[in-house]
Order: sequence, then C-alpha cells, then structure tokens
Amino acid sequence: MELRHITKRYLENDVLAVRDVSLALHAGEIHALIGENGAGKSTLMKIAAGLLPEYDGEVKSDAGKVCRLVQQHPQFIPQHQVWENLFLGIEPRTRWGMIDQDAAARRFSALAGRYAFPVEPRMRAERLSAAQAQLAAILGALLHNPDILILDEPTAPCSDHETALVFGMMRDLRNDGRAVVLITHKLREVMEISDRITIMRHGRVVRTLLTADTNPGELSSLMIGEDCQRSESDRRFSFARRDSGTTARTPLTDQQDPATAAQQTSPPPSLRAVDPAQPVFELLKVSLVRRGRMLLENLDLRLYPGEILGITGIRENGLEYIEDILSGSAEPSSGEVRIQGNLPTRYTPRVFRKLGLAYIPTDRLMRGASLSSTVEDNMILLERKRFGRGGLLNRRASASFSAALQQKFGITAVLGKPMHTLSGGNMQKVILSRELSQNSPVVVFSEPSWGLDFRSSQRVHDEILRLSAEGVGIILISSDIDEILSLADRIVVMYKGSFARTLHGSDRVRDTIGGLMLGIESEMSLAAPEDHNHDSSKEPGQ
Amino acid sequence: MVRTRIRRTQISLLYGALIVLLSTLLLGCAPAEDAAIDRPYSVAVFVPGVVEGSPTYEMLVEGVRRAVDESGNATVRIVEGGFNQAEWAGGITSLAATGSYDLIVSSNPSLPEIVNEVSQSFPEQHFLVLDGYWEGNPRLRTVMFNQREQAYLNGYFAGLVTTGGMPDSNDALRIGLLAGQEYPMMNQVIRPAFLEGAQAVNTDIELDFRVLGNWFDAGRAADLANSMLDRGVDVILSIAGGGNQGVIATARDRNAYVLWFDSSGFHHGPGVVIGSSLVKLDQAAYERTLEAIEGSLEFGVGEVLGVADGYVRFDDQDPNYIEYVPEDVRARHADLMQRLMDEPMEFAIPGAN
Amino acid sequence: MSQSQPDSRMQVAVATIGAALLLTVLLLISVSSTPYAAVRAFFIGPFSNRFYLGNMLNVFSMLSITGLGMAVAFRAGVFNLGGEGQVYVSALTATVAGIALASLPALLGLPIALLVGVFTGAVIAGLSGLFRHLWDTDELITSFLIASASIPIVDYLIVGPLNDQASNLLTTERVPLAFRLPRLLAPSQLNPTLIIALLLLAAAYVALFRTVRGYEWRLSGLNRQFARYGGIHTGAYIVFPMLVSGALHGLAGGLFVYGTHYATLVGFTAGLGWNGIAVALIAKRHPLGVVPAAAAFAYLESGARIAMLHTDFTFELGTIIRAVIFLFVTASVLPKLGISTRVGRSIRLLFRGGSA
Repeated sequence: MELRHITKRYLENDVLAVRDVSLALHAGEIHALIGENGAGKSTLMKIAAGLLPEYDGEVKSDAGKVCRLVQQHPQFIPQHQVWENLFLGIEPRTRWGMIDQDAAARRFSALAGRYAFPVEPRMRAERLSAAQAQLAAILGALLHNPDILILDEPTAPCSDHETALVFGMMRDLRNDGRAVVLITHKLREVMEISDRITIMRHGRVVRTLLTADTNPGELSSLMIGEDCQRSESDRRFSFARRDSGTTARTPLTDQQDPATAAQQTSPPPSLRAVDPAQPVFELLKVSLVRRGRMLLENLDLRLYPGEILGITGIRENGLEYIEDILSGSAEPSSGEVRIQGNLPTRYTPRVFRKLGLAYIPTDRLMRGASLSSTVEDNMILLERKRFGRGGLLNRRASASFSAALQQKFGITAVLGKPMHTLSGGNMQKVILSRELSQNSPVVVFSEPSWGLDFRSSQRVHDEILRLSAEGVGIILISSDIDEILSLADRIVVMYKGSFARTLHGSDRVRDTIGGLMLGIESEMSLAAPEDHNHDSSKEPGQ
Repeated sequence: MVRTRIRRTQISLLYGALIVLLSTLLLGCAPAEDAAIDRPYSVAVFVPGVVEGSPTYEMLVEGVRRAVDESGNATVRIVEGGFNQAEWAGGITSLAATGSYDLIVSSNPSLPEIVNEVSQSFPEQHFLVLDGYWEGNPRLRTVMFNQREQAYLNGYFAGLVTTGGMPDSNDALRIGLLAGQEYPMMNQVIRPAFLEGAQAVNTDIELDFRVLGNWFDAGRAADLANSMLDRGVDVILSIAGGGNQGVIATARDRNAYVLWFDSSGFHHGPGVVIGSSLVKLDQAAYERTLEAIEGSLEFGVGEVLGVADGYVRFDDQDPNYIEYVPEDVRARHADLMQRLMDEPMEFAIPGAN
Repeated sequence: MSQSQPDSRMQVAVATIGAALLLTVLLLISVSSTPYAAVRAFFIGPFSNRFYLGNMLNVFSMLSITGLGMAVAFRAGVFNLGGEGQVYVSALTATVAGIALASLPALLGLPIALLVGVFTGAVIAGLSGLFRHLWDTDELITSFLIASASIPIVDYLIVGPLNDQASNLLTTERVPLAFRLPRLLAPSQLNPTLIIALLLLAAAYVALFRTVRGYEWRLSGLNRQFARYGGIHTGAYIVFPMLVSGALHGLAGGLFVYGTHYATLVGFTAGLGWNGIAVALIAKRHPLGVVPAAAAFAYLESGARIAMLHTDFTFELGTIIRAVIFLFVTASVLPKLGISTRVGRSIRLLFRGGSA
C-alpha cells in the first residue's frame, strides 16, 4: 500500500492534522509510526484504513487487499458477547440463514488460541478488562484476514506478558508476508519489534529509517524536533535579560529555602508590591490516588512572582491530573496546596479563585466555556456578582463590560451569539479576557495554544510574557515542548505522575526534556552541561 | 442578541398560531345542530371503569340496551369513564353538560354522591344509578341490591363447606375472603355478613380477611390465597377482579374451593369454583330503563332489592354446581334461600344520606 | 453541533404535535363509525361550550405548574422524575392540613394548607438533590424511587386511616367549604389556579433570565463543569432546583385539591407529573414556552376526552391517543436536547414509570 501526498484538515476545529505525507507500506514488514501526541499518526492511518473519507491525496493499494485498523480504545456493545461484537456484519450462517453461533465461537477460539490471547468468545463485552478488550479487538481485525493490519497504541493497556503476546502475533503476521503498522510512542517497543520506523511531527513525516540503523536517542530527538533549539534560547533569554538587566535569571529550585532563593534572585525592577521572596503558589508533597492508582506522587513546587514555570510531559503521565490539582478541580489525597501562603478551605475552583488564582483550562469547550451560552454570558462569569442589583441582573452594565473586554482583546464575535459560533482562536481570547480581567496574582495556563493557529498562539504567548513582566506568577502546563522552551523560566518534566526533573538555564535542552518525557533519561546520559543547580534540582527518589 | 430574537419570534409565532387556531375553532363551532322536535329518547350509560372484563358492567350495558331496543324509540350511548375515580365526576358532568341525554345511567356505590353533586349544576338532568343508594334528589333514582343477603348467601355456603360439606374440606373452621380493596360496602356489609352467614352454620367459624390492594394482581392474589390455605382455610370468597384468577389457580393446586360474587363463575374453574351468588343487575337495569323511557319511572327514591324480590340469587342451576356440590349441601342452602325469601334481612346501607 | 439549529428544534416540536394530531385523526377515522363527528368532537369539542373550555383551561393551569416544575429543574441540569408522586403526596398533606385547620379563617387556613403542600413537595424532591450533593447518588433515580415508593403509602392512607367513611369513593374527607377556591366558569373546574399558574410562569421567567442567581442556575444546567470552574457553587444548584421543582409540584398538588377536587382521591393525579415532563420538553425548558406547550397538551387531552364522550370512542382508545401524544413528544424532543446518557436513562425510566 502506498499513501501519496495525503493532507487532512479537520473542518470542525480547522486543524491541519496531516500535511502532504507520503508513505509506503511493504508486505512482510513491521512498520512503526511514532511521534508526539497530535503528530498526525492516527489520522494518517485512519485514512489508510479508509475510515476518513475526506482528504487530499491518494491511497494506492492492490485490489482485493484488506486493510484493518485496530483503534486505540476499542468500543464494544457492552451487553453483547464478544463474538457478537466482532462478527457484526460477517456472522457465519447456518443452512437456514440463522446466525451460526457455534461456528462463530469456534472460529474465534481457534484464532485466540493460535496467539494464546486469553479471551473467551462467549464473555459479555462489558466484563472484558482493558487489555482483553484490546486483544479482542485485534482478533476482530484478524477475523477479516487483513493484508495490512494497523495497530494504534495496542500495548497501552497491556502488561508485559500481554505485550509479548501481541508482539508474537505481529511477528507471525510478518512471517506470513503481511504488513503490520504499529502506532506508538514507546521507543522501547519500537526498537524491539519494528523493522522500519517512520517519525511524524506536526503532521509531517520527519524521516523513515531502518530500526537497525537507529537508537532511542536519535528517535527521541527526531520526534521532538531539533530545529527550534536556536530560537528558543534566543527568545527566552533575551526576555529574561530585558527583565532583570543581568544575564539569565538565576532559577529557583524547589528544594531551596525561599530566603536563600531571594538572595540569589535578582528580581526584575518591574516587580512591585508583591514580595518576590514569597512564593505565590506552592504544592507541598501533593499526591493523588484514585481507585488505588497513584496518579500523582509526592509533588513539590513553588512559584514566585513574575516567574513562568513550565510543566510538560507526555499524555497519561499526569499532566491532566496536575491541571486539576492546580486549579482546585480535584482534592489531593495527601499534601497541601498554598495560594499566596493561604491554605484553601476546600479544594474547589471557587475557593482557589478567591485566593487569587486564574485558570485557563485545556478543555476549553467543556470547562473553559459554555458553548450554548452567549459570548457575553461567558465573559461575565467571574464578574456576575458585580452586575447584580437587588438580585436582578443589570444587562446594560454587563454588556458594556463585555464590550470593553472584546475591544481590549480584539475578539471578533457578536456578544449576543452563542459561544459555539466562535473560532477556536476567538474562543480562547474570550476565555483569556475573562480570566485576566481579575488581575489574579497566579495564573495557570494549560495547553493555551493547543489547536490554535500561529497568530492566535502568538497572541497568547505575548499575553503570558506581559503578565510575567507585571509580576504575575504563571504556571504553564503544556505538552508542546517548543512552547515550554520559548516561555518558561523553569521546566518541570512529568513522568508517570512524578516530577522527573526540574530544569533551568542551560539545562533546558530539548534532548534532555525529550528523554525525561519518555522516561529514558538514564540512557540519555544527560549530555547537557552541568550547572551549579543541577544536583539540588533532582527530585528525591528519581 | 440575534439568537434571543429568533427564539422570541418563534415563541410569538407559536402564540399566534394558538390564537388563530382558537378563534377559527370558536367561529367554526357556533351553530351546533339543535334538538329535533320529535327526537327519540336518548340514554347515556356512564361506565365507571371499563366494560370489557367486568361482568357487572356487562350486565348494566346489556340491560339498558335491551330496554332501548325493546322500546323502539330510544338511543343509547355507552361511555367508559376509566378507573380514575377523580375523573368520574368530570365524565358525568360532561355528559350532563351536552344536554342531549334524557337519562344518564350508571352503576357503582360511589356514583350517587357524584351524581348528586353534578345534579346541582344541571338540575334538569335525570339520572339512574344502580348498585348505589340515594334518597331525596328529585332527579336521581337509585337501585340498590341487598348485599348483606348476597354476602350472607355466600357465607352460609362457605360455612357448609368448611364444616365438612365437600370432599376436600379440612378440619379447621376457617373461611377466607379476599377483597381487591377495602371500601365501605366491603367493610361494613359484605365482610360481616359473610361471617354472619358462616356462623349461622357453626358459631366457631373464623374469617381470614385479606386485601389485595388492587383489582388486577393475580400473582399476589395467589400468594395471599396460599397464605390463607396455610392457615387452615379451605374455601375463599374472592372479590378481587383480575386477582380472582390467582385465587382459582392456588385453590386448584391445593384442592381448596372458591366462591364467586355478583355473577356466575363456575366456568372459570369447574370443580374449584363451587358457588356463585348472583345479582340480577341486568334485569334491574332493563326494567328501570324501560320505565324511564315510558315515563313511568319514579325519581327521588332509592329502592333496595333483595332475595325476596328475585334480584339477589344463588346460582343453583349451573350444571357444575349440581355435579360437584353434594346434594345435602345443596338442599341445606336451598332451605336458606327459602328462609330469606320469607324473611328479608335488614340492610343498613353504608354512607346512605 | 447539536445546538446549532434552534429553529429546527422548534420545528421538530411543532411537527411532533402535528404528527400526533394526524395519527389521532387517522385513528378516529378508522375506528369510529361516525368519523366526522369524532374528528369534530376531538378538535372543536374543547371550545364548544363553557364547561369544556373551562375544564381544558384547568388542565392547562395544572400542567403549566407541573411543567414549570420540570422546566426549572431541567434548566439547572437536574432531573426530577418524581413529579407524579410529589403532586400526590403534597395533595394529601395539604388536604390533611386543611381539614385540621378548618377552624381558622380561610384567608389564613388556605395559605397554610397550600404551604404545607409546597413544603412536602420540596422536601421529597429536595432529598434527592441533597443525596446527589452528598453522596453523588443519581437524583434521577432517587427522585423516581422516592416518589414511586410514596404513592402506595398515600394510597394506603386514603383507603385506610384517612378514608372518608361517609363516601363510597376511595377518598379522604373533603376540605372545609370556606377553603375551596371559587369556580370561574361553573360548572367547569376552572378556578384561580389559572391566574396563579400564569403569575408563576412570569415570575420564573424573570428569576431565570433576569437575575444573577438565574444566570448561575442556567449556567449550572448548561455546563456544570464550566459553572464550577467559574466559582459557582454548583452543589447548591443541584439541591436548590430540586427544592424549587418539588415545591412547584407540591403547590400543584395543593391547588389540585383546593381548586379542583376538594379532596385527595386514590390515583387522582393521573399523570399530572409525567405529563409535566412532556410539557417541559416541548417548551424547550423555557418558562414562556410552557404556555403553548401546556395549552397544546391540554387541548389534545381534552379533545380525546370529549371525543370519548360524544362518539363510540372507547376509553382505551382515549388512553392510546394520550399515550401516542406523550410518546411522540418525548421521543422526538428528548434526543434534541443533546445526546447524553442521563437523558437516555430518563427516557427509559419515563416509559417504565409512565406505563406503570
């Protein structure tokens, strides 16, 4: 199969997911497709499997070749048995045209047995574990006897044992002369199983190479990109210089006593009333456990006025949970949060806001906005009390307030129209305008430029820098390394629910971050030059 | 802004449509056809429930129909009021409000009070209510059946059965009564008279009284019947509508007996249903309706019809009765019938005004 | 996006009622031996005299209050599936209170009796809200269960301890004469409930759309996550809307007694609560939308009842037509409210509950 010049733009959010990609898949080969989240891997493979009808470019494959894609989180009809789910549409029939359940179950069992997948055909789908569901979905694809099998993160829910079973199946197919595509971001697996590797980034193919010719370090830097390294240092440090009048601001480390930190720090002259020595936001030994799973472990963090603290990592390593903790949306299982030195009475966004925190959430559509409410109603959320007069809502006052915000932030929108009529960029501007209207001393940004076009994200970044210059403490959660590198004074990398490392100054190197994100920093031998903070910045236990 | 305007337009459109609809209909309905000068006598039957499956209401409808057919110059409309008692008053009022019925016939102990109330708004409307009692409303005629005698007939028969009259009678002197619900007639008349009749056979007989809580749950009725049989009951009078079927099923399984009320029930379970008291509601409905059509019916009074009048009976003609019930029992019960013919029982009507 | 065409949603609501009407006409024509009279009775009947018109308006006022009770809950994103039971229980407590307070002057006694009803409904529904807030139990389920469990208790009380010994009906004693609301279009059942209902609708509109609390209320319903994120005490907007919803149902129960029946009869609510849900849905959960929605519903109901009285239309057919209308409305309007499992569950519960 060959993909030629594939381009795909999602109309719903105007995201260019895949840009002019060409890729060839060969029989008898396991082809790994790797890249960061949102690099376009899944979209490309959906196109290959014929699941996305609208795209530019050409998919060439020999007639009669069957291509099956096993999606990342397979969906089943929960009340139905496994075989009923998988044979939907291809049910074997008896002579009388009835569904031949036994034949179906036999065929399924034979296939499961061949690869030693522990799945029973007669089990109800809702009783499958996540790993079993994944295996069942793979078997479902195999029932169609595909020439090309595409697996999207098949081992995500699997233990080592199940992973080995999946790999065994993949090798078997390869030896049978079929093509297998493995979408993943686990480099270890890629090195173990694949024959060839294609790396994607920002919707493009960065490179395709033979597994034998590469190593995890190279893959990691290809995935994360090296082209921006220059610009990030320029930008960030010129900004810091402008602020402090010295060279790079000496970063603060989490373990440092604030008093010592204050001595080391030369605060920007623009910092006013706030005591630069007092952290505006702290996490103290915060852990989050849900259903017996440790989602966040023992996190310590201090944010000082005017500082931009970046938190990055790969999805499912705890970024979404730390967002909830930072914003008061979730209560830590242990440890505490302090905002401007105050302990919140309760862990709710309401209390966090009162203590001086503003928050731009990742999920703009659900958390950041009420789509069916008007733009104006979205803007006045935090100021609503101000417009109440004897309980009645003063619509005239709220309209002029909204109009002022609209003008200040250059929002292209009709205030009386529902929020969902806005483009992604304008929607984000509405959210920003609302959150920043509070003049909060702490602002949490989570994935602020996610899904935005270049100009819009530029505006957001400018806003972050402006706030920082005004002395606002900023936490920037982002899985976009470029964004983090270009904005943050300090960078915390999350890996499996912990802070893998805090990096500052010249430590902030793309390769290092990439390695930490993927949990392979030990192999990476941290080539970056040592600096005096290095040792103390390491988290205990790492 | 624009959106709210759209919504406002929509709502105002809907209001507009409503007003237009209203006015066209009001204009359109103005000239209703007026009564012809020599129109036939018009009867409406208001069924407080549903005819299908109710022997009482079937009798009511059949009796009125027969009278109308026989008279030749009358029409009848049957209206079902459903099971919600609260809507009966509305139904009766609606019928009265049409003004097109010379007589509204209904049947149920609770109807006289409703009719009496409706009658205040429609003083010209004539009513005939069977199976209910009211005196003093000049446009309302009621016909009541002596349910004390009726329950007594059942009770006496039950007494004969539980004292060893039937092959499967047991030693315990316990009889059962299952009611769909508790209501004044049940609590104040049927229940005591049933026991009274049984104790006329043997004063030691006890009554096990149960309430189903509705008129349809045969499963629960079967459970209750089982529980009664466990406690030594061998004959059950079942007045529980659809629940009766559950009682029959239990009695059949456990060789007990069932008695029926109001209509002949032998065919529901030959050999299990061994006695039925009858009310000749169809006869009364026929006769009184015919009198009304002919103009001879007296209103403002409530009559009570009993065994002596021939309207309350025990079904001794059914072949199943003759086949399954021993001759001496039948003879003793026939004696009772004769006694009641000669000496009617006093009947204190609950809630009578 | 599901909300992107508000006007198409309105069209759906209108088309639904149209389809229900069409089906009704077809039923009437095919079943009736006098199809013309049946159709005529159905459509024109409700307007043909003061009595029918008054009764229809009374149905309208009752449905307006229960429909509003549902709409305000839906607006806050909570589901009160116990309306039927709340009306019923409140009717009983209001009745008992009125009888107990018979010695008071009507101007004092009647409001107290009605308040007892309001309080009863609010407590029953509020419990579900509180449970959801405290333990995250689904208020949809608990309100349904609590109300369903309370119905047989009320039945028992009416048939048993509170039974009117003087009546052959399964009813409580009647409330004091002085407490009864006057009839407006005698002999129809129309009474000042109509005015109360209209005032309530207007008040609800102002409260929801013109106050800060109403803003928070609606936002909690539109997007609870967003509301919480904005510092709105969303827990309060679970409990409070349930309280208000229950209170409105309680008021409906009280007014049903003091305006229409003067007593609590077994099963007399007859779908008032369930139909309130349908009304709220046709109304798009908007207080002003409740007026045409309740009017349409009352009209169809009255039409079916009148057709039953005037033609050879059986009781079952009348029931079928009402069921058809209810089914059409809920089935077509519900999915348009946005596909969510909660709504799906409420549909299932509705039909299970509605058919029981």
